[in-house]
Amino acid sequence: MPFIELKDITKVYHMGEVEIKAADGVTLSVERGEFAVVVGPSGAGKTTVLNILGGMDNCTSGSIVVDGRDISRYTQKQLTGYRRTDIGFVFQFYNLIQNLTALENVELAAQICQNSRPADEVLRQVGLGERLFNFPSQLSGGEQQRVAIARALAKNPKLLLCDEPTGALDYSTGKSILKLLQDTCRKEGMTVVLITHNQAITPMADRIITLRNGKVEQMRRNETPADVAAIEW
Amino acid sequence: MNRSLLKDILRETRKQLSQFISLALILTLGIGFFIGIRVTGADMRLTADEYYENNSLMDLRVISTLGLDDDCLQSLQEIPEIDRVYPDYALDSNARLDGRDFIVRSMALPEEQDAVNQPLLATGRMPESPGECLIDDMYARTDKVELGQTVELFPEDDGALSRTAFTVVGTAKSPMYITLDRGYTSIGSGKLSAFLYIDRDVFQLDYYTDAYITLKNTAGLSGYSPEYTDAVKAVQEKVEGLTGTISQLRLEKIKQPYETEYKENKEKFEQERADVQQQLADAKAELDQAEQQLRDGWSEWWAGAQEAFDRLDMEQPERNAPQAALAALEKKLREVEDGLPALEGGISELKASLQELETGQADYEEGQKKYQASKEEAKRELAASKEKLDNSKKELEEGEAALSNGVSQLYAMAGLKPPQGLTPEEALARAQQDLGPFAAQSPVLEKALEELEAQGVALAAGRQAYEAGVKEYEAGKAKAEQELANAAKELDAAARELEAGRAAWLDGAQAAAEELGITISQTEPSAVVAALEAGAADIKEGQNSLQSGISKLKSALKDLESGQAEYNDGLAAYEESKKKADRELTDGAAKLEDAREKLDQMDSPELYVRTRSDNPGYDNYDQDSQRIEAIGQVFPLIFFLVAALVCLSSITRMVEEHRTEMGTLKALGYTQHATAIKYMSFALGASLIGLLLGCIIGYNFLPVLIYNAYRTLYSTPDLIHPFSLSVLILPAALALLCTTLTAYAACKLALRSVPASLMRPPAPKAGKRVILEHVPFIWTHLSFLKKVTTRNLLRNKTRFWMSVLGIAGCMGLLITGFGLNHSIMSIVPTQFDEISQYDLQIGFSGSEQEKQTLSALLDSRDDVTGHLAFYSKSAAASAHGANHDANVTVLPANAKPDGFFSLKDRNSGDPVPLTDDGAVIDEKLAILLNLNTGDELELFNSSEGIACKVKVAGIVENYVYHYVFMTENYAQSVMAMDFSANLMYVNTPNETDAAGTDRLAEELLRQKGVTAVIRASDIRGMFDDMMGNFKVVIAIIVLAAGALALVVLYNLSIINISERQREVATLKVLGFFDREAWAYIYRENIVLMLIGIVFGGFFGWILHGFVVRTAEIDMVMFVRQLDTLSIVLSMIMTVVYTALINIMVYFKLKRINMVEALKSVE
Repeated sequence: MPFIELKDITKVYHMGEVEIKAADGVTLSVERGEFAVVVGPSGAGKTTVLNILGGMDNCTSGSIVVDGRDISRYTQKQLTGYRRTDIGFVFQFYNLIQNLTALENVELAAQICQNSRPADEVLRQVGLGERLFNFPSQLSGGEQQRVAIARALAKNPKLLLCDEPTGALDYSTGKSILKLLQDTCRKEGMTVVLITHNQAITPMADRIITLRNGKVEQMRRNETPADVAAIEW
Repeated sequence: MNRSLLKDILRETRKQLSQFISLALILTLGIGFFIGIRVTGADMRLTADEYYENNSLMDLRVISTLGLDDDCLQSLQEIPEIDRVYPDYALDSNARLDGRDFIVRSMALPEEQDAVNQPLLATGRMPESPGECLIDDMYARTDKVELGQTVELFPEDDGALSRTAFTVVGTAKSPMYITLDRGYTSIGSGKLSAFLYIDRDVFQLDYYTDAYITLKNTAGLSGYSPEYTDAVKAVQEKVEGLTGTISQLRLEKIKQPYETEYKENKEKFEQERADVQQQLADAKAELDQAEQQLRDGWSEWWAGAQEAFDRLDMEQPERNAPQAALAALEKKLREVEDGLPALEGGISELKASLQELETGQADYEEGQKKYQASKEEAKRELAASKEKLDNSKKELEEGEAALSNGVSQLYAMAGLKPPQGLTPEEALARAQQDLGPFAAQSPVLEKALEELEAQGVALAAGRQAYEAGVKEYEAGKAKAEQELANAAKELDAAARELEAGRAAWLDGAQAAAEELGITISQTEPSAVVAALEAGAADIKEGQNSLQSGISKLKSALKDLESGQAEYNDGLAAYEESKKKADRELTDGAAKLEDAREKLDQMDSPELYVRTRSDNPGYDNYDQDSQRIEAIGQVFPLIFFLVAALVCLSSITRMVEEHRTEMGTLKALGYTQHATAIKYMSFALGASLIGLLLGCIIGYNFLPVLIYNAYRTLYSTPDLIHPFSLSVLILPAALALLCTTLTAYAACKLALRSVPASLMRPPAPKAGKRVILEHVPFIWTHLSFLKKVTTRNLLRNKTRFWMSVLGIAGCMGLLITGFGLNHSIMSIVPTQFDEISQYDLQIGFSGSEQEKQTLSALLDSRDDVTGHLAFYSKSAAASAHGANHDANVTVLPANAKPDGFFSLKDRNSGDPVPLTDDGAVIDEKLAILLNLNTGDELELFNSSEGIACKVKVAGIVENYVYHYVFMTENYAQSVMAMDFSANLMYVNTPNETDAAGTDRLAEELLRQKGVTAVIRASDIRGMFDDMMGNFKVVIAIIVLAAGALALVVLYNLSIINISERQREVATLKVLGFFDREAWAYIYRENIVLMLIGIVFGGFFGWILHGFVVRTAEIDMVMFVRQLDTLSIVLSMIMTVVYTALINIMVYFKLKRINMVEALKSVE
């Protein structure tokens, strides 16, 4: 039983008379502990799928089963609960609360979870032991993203969803972030789904899903994921 | 501007519709309220002025206690400033309609087109016949009078109206009565309930009750402007100057018919009196004449009778019995006739006796001669004897003397004293005795003695001889005398006899004469006889004439008697007439006297000149309009400012949100100007719509709303609400400033940056440690989320202050609204429960006597617990350049105001005593005239003779009208004037109800000297109404403030949310339930609300104080304290609003699409 299973997911937007199919029958699956990368050109529907997977959006049709639970029929409230406990999200633009320090940002997320990890521990884990009491404006992009990751991890989620996490970072910083994610995946056994349009990093993934025009063009397993450090692009 | 931009603008507007609408709404409210409150006052006055103009409301009204006539009107018309003098009829009377009794003033329907005080027909139609009438519209509405019902009047004077029953065919408003109050009257309980318009011809009065005057110099002036007041005052003074003359004229006119009648009557009376008197005089004259004639007749008769009586020698007849006299005469005549012969015989006898008498006389005379001769002889003899005797005596005496001497010599010889007091003989004897012894011794002596003895013997012999001679002489004398005496006696007897005889003869003659009826004056007998004889002859003669005379007398008597009878009748009749005439004349004279007195006592009537201000409600209307205006000075401005502030922040934020777009446009090459246009257009669009709607609300809706609320108490036509540009300028300018210009400025500011940076998302505001973090005590105890809230709040200072100010502003406005309500509403209970405690007020203008009577009456009544009489007149009080009308109240020396009105200090509540040190004034007056204790103020009222300076000795709490209280002593020390009481406060027991008070009022009105009775409850009711009007305004303020609060808070929240969409989305992504995310936001709102309430409380307190002072009318003092309830209510409202907003936030929040909000900028 795959950890995540999407069956024939469609997402249709109605703008007046116009119909936009953001996702058009997406079927994919991800095993527990896998590092899955979803690639595809802009407009392919990557973010849409991620949003649906993360419980931030409803699908028009199809089913999503995460860890044995069908979340496609979840109510808003249930989805919120799902997001709360099962999902950790990392955005491209970090979306940290500016008014809170790094520690507080993580604590914010930790506060609402039952089995959360101690915030400072997680921050140290991501290498920000020295930066606990800095505001996001006092942190570099990479540090901010780490905080975001720490925030996501602090919740002890089943699933870590990352939407172009390195999009706003330079090469080396991005690489380090990816490494962090990979390490977390391998060490913690966390299932990570990462969206990018950068084909170059697909070797690091355990599973590579290619989307095009709202459909899964290809889904293959990578038996030999490479270390991020080894990949150059 | 090219088409794409235009499209952009329109689409943007549609997208941001709620924003656009809320902006427009805020501006609408702000502008609408601002304009509305500002123009309502002026609109009200304008409406009133139109009404007065169209219906020709009078400028002056002249009334007199005895009515007016054409002459009065004539003199009034001579004042050049007067346009028209319009006479009118009015009558107060009891009335009944549909079983209800009330007191009504019936006025004459104006007949001409351009009459003064034309009524405005409200429902139904104008009366077309004398049996129809128009009734007071306001009364009709409140008492549910229907057209077709009949009104019956009960005037006190039956002849005043030609008919008393009228059918109501319509209702009307009168420009004279624009409020509920219909004024006072002197009948019944003193209060008029309604007015009635009836046909002019129904009035049968021969005088006008009112003269209404319109002036030339007031044309075009607003009835409430100071120019109008001055113009009217000038003419009023002129008219008042004429009142003396007119009063006099009127009096004369009234008197005239009476005077004429009096004159006529007097003339008539005098004429008649003259006639009557003349008649009487004539009659009297006749009578007198007759009497005289009678008297003459009687005299004559009696004279005649007397004559006859005399002739008949009878007694004086008694003058009152002519018949008897006549009878007596006749009797006597007969007697005389009968007795005549006897008489004649008697005369003969007399003659004979006379003869005898004469003989006797002769005898007597002879005898007398004899006697005389004898007497002579005797005399001679006696004389001779006497001589002889005398000689002897002489010798004797000589001898005695010699003896005596001798004795003495003897004694001398003997050397002894001779004895004294002895006769010579005795002396001799003594000498013999004494000297005898001696003699024995002396021969001389003895010789002498012997000689003496011889002498003595001789003497003795001589004496003896003498004595014998004397005896002889004596005897002879006696004898002679005796003889003579006898002779004399005889003669006397004879004389006596003669005398008697003569007397008897005379008697006889007298008797005869008497019988003859004549008097004899002669004494000489022959003459007497002659007379007697003549008399007899006369008698005989007389008899005949007597006879005829008596017959004459008889007939004369008859005539006289009938004449007498006639005269008596005539006299009686005359007396009768005279009495009657006298009575009637006296009556008539008395009546004339009376009439004259009454006429003279007629007082010239009092004339009163009234202006529009004396119409009930006229000034109140002005004051109400002013009150709104006063509020309109400050309040809407604040309102508007809050609105403007919100707009400002709104636009600013909006511009900031569009940074990216602006950057794009700039990058595309659009000028700054072009870029800014979009946002300016948005802003301009919103503000124009706001302006437009605001104008509609402000010029039309709001004024009409406020005005119509007042119209429940005012009877006026629909509001005229013209567009006036001046009011619009400020709000329009501000609105544009705060929107369009702000947009431009914000754009300018934003566009300073280069396009690139614009297009990037704005660097989020850096997080900062807040001050509170440095207070570890509090900070560590705050929960995590609370720390977040705190930091969030303080992060964006602008937003923080904007929100706080917005909330504070609204809170402040609410507090002002509620506080003002309290300040005004509590005046009436405070004033009428605590300060003015009396139950009835009596106006008095009678004499001291009448005052005493009234006082006694009040003392005696069960339904009166006390009364206080004092002097009260209004005067202008001035100090420091300001002046206001005040009631000058002077209490008599020992009067205590306790229970009638209380004088106490407002702040401390301590009583302020009224002493002879100075005057006590009310607090508001002190404020208006800038007075403290110890300062001086001037009082002036020329027509009452008040002009003086008084010292302020105390200031008391009072909310309605102005007062200057003084004791009589103090008042008289500054003004030499008589402060006789003209006002009385009366207290009734607590249980007295309205009916009881009415009864008392009616009773009192009937007392002499009482001119008006006003119930305190009526005054209170009037003020309640006045203040009640104000409630409307308050309600509007509160509602507007509330609406503004709502909109402001909504807007602020929207701003809040839009700025933090990403934040909220993140939270949602993180798994925050909607409620939790909501709490995250509304926690901030609550803190803002709390802070805003505190600031707002403070702000409201200040604003309230300010508005109370500015909105106050001079005549009234608002309660200055801000009450807790107002604050609490405002807080509650603010909390409620915030809660509402938060709820709205929740829904907005719910709809935040995480995906959209967190959309990455590619």
